[in-house]
Amino acid sequence: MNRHSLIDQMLLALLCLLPIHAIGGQALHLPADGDPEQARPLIIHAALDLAHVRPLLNAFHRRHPRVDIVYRNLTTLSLHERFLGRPEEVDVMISSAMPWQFALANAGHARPLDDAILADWPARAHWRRELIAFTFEPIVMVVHRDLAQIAATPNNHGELLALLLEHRQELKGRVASYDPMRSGAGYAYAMEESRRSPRYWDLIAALGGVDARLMDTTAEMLDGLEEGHLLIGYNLLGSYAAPIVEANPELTLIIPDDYALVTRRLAFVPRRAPHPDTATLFMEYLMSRQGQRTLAEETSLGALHPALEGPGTATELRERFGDALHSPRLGPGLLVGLDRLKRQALLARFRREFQRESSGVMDAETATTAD
Amino acid sequence: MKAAHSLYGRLLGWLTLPLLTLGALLLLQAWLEARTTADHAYDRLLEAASLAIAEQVQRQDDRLWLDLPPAALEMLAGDAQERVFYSLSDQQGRHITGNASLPLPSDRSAADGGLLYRDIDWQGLRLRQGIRRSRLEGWQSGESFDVSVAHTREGRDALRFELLRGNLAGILGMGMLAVVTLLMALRAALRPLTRLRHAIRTRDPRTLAPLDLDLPRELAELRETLNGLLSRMRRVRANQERFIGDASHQLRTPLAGISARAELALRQTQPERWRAALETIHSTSENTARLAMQLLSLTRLANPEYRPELTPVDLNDCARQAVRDHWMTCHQAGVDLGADCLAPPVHVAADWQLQESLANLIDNSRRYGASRITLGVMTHPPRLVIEDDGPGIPADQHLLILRPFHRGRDDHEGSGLGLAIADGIARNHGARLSLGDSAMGSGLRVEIRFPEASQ
Amino acid sequence: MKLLLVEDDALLADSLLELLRGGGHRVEHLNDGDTALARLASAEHGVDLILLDLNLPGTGGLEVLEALRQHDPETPVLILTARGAVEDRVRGLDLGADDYLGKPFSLDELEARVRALLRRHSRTTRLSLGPLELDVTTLGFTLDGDPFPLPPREQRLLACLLRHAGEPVDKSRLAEQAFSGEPMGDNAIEVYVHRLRKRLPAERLALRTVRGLGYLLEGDP
Repeated sequence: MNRHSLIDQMLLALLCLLPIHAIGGQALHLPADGDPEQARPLIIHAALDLAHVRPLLNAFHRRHPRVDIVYRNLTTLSLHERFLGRPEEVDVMISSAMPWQFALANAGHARPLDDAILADWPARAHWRRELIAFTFEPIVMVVHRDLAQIAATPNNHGELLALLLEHRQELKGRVASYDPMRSGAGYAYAMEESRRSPRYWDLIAALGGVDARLMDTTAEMLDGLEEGHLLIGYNLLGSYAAPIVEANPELTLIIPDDYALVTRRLAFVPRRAPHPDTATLFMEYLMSRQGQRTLAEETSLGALHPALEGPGTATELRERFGDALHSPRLGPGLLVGLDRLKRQALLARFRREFQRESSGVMDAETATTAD
Repeated sequence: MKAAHSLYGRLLGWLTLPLLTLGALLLLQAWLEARTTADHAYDRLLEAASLAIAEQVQRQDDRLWLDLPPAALEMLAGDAQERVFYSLSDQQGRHITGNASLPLPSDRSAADGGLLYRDIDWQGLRLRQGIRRSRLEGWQSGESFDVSVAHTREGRDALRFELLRGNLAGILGMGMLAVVTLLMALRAALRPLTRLRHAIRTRDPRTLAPLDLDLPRELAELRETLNGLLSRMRRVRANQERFIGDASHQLRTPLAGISARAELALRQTQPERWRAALETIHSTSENTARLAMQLLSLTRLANPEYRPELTPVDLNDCARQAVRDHWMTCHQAGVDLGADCLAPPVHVAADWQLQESLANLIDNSRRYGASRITLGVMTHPPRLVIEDDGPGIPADQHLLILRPFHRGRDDHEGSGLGLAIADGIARNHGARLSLGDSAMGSGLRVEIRFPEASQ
Repeated sequence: MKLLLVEDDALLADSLLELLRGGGHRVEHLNDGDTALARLASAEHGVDLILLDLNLPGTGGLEVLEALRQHDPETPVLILTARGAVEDRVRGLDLGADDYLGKPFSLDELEARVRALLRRHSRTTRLSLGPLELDVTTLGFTLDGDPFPLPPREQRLLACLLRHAGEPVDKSRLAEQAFSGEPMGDNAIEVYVHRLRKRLPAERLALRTVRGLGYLLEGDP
């Protein structure tokens, strides 16, 4: 790992900035039924809240009661760090930090799955049979009902830009988005969007114009929206926002109809996994109709299985939004996000654009975290 | 003749061997070529990707700066979803950015101004690496930097196997064609042999006529050899036929004499006449028998195919044996036969015929009036000498006397064949027989001079 | 003495039978090789000398000889053949024949050979030639029935010559057999022969010199 050290250090430095929407330290143990001697251990490390994953684990355990499941929920940072330190202790790695997961698979840490398991899995949802995308989570806008008093609810990026430019004074300080300098997710979205649309920088300039508040997590933005001092939240993780919005009639969840980013959680079985058979069993379940249905119906994560239909499935979202949904391709393009210079360049541009129309000055703290 | 010695098998073997070698070489070449072709095709990706990256390298804030184009990495992944690695190093080889510290060649000048491709083994992965050395343009420093890109070989290997499979089908097809052609050619080439065998098998065993068969050149040689053998057999047979004719002619005369003498005697009544007739008949029949034997010897000698089986023989032994064999006969005829041998053995290459030659010479001397015959051995060159004290032969008769049926002396006892036979045997031994005057005075001296010992 | 004559030519066989019977031998005559083979199959054939023609109908003479020598190396065999050449003689002697006579031969020579062979292979303890007799066991000679004392070396020399009476004996062979290989120059043998010659009755026993070869003892010169 010596050669890796420099790269790893850089990756870890970036990871420090990942969103902390997965609260570290949570763990779950589902012991095997019956004779403990015959139990088949399965160790899952993930950056995915227990609340979202528990139905899935329970369903899997019901189906395979002999499996002794240990689930540890870590932050994306500690997940990556712990894996590089001890790649032989974990059977399944799950994270939404797509570039980081991809970097591990690209470096050969993942174990390819059998063709049979992937027979009806879409080609674009896995890489080399090693890295599997199993959720479909759109990035959304959430608006507060009070916005209606100022202007019409924006349905896409164009309307949002127009709204921000038109009602600059009314919206000052009442718009929030991810801080790409502090949040890994925010950075990832910024990277994708900047590649996607040249008008992205106009939007950033407009956000700067209304002195948008740059936050670290979706939860923080949701808090501000629920409390009502934020009117617009831009680029929230749909799977986290959906239950809150559903529970709060003052909030509306909007999936932009011109283009919507979709993030996908990636799972892989490490090459040196201690229990590859059980791990494969779990992966198989994760991609099976039953597993995907559990995801669709009992969690807000969004099932990716192409044969499933109805609420909570990729099929349903695609029917509604068609080509507007845009998910980063599972490929080495993801590595670009991890490039040190690229990151510096993007953040510099972001700062420049954000301050172009800004009336105020970015707070010192934000300005210095760029590196 | 071993069963394994099949001409067909041997030809097949010797022709298949180069064919197989050729096939193996073709396969090897196809394998290497497929590799080269696959690498060539995929190296373009490395070239394009490294170029795309290098074009984005610039100097910013007094250091190298790279705006990494995602397309460059996607391009490297290709359809086979290769693992992709890239790194940017400055002039001093320091890692600037990248997802891997790919090794740089120790001899960096090799890559200067162009692209260097190589296969590397990195962290347990087999990679193909392309290293591009570029210079920043438009800057006074002209600082150079290395863009190194690498990806796994899966796409190449797949392409290589695909190419190989295509080639393999061609090579196999060619191989099959070659084998079939080979088998057919062999059959066609060996067919004349079957014809020849058939022709020989169906021949009348008594005929010695030459084979008249249209054959290819190689077999025509065999046919000519066979015909040569047949013609020699014809000569032998002619020789034998001539002997039978000669012998019957030569023998008929004395037999007629015996018959006449007996018939005449039977008309008489006096026992003295009978006795005289019987004595004549006895001596004539003895001579006739001897004549028959000599004729046989002569025919054998005259046989163009006869080759004596030569083994080393001591001339002393030869002389002693001759004395032992003929002493009694000579003694009874009142002839003193003796030997004059040397102490050390004198070896020449000879066979049993030599004894026959000596027998004829002793017989000859005895019959032509010698009372003392001495066999001698001399060296340098090895010589056998028979001297007698008979009347001898004048020097002008020496050559004539060696001809068959020539009688040098006016005597009715001899057939005139003895010296001719001795001469013939000497010739067969590579020796020369010469006549001369005996040291004993008037007699004949016959000397058989052998070539100097060769062993 | 019991002789066996194997000869298919009736004329020659008749002459030989008459000659040999006249010489006081009992002679049995067979016409072909097969009967000869059968006759000689047992070791107890009781024949003292075999006169064998090589050119026989059926089994050839050489094959008969070869079969005989498988179980009987002793009984002397004299080959008679018209084949003539020396090569047959060589083969016959190789196969174990004791002597060889090419047809035509003189009857005198045949008688001499038969006598010599019988003497050489005599199973009796007494050998005789003319007036001379030898007791093989004591090496004691008698001449006309009277003891004929000789010095030991001359005694052995004469015994050797007597055993081969009628045929020339090489000097080297004499030295070997009569003097048991004692170092003895040719001249020494000549001295003993000279002495012996003086003791023998020259008119009835001749000790002849074969020039360059050796000596020969002959009775009734």
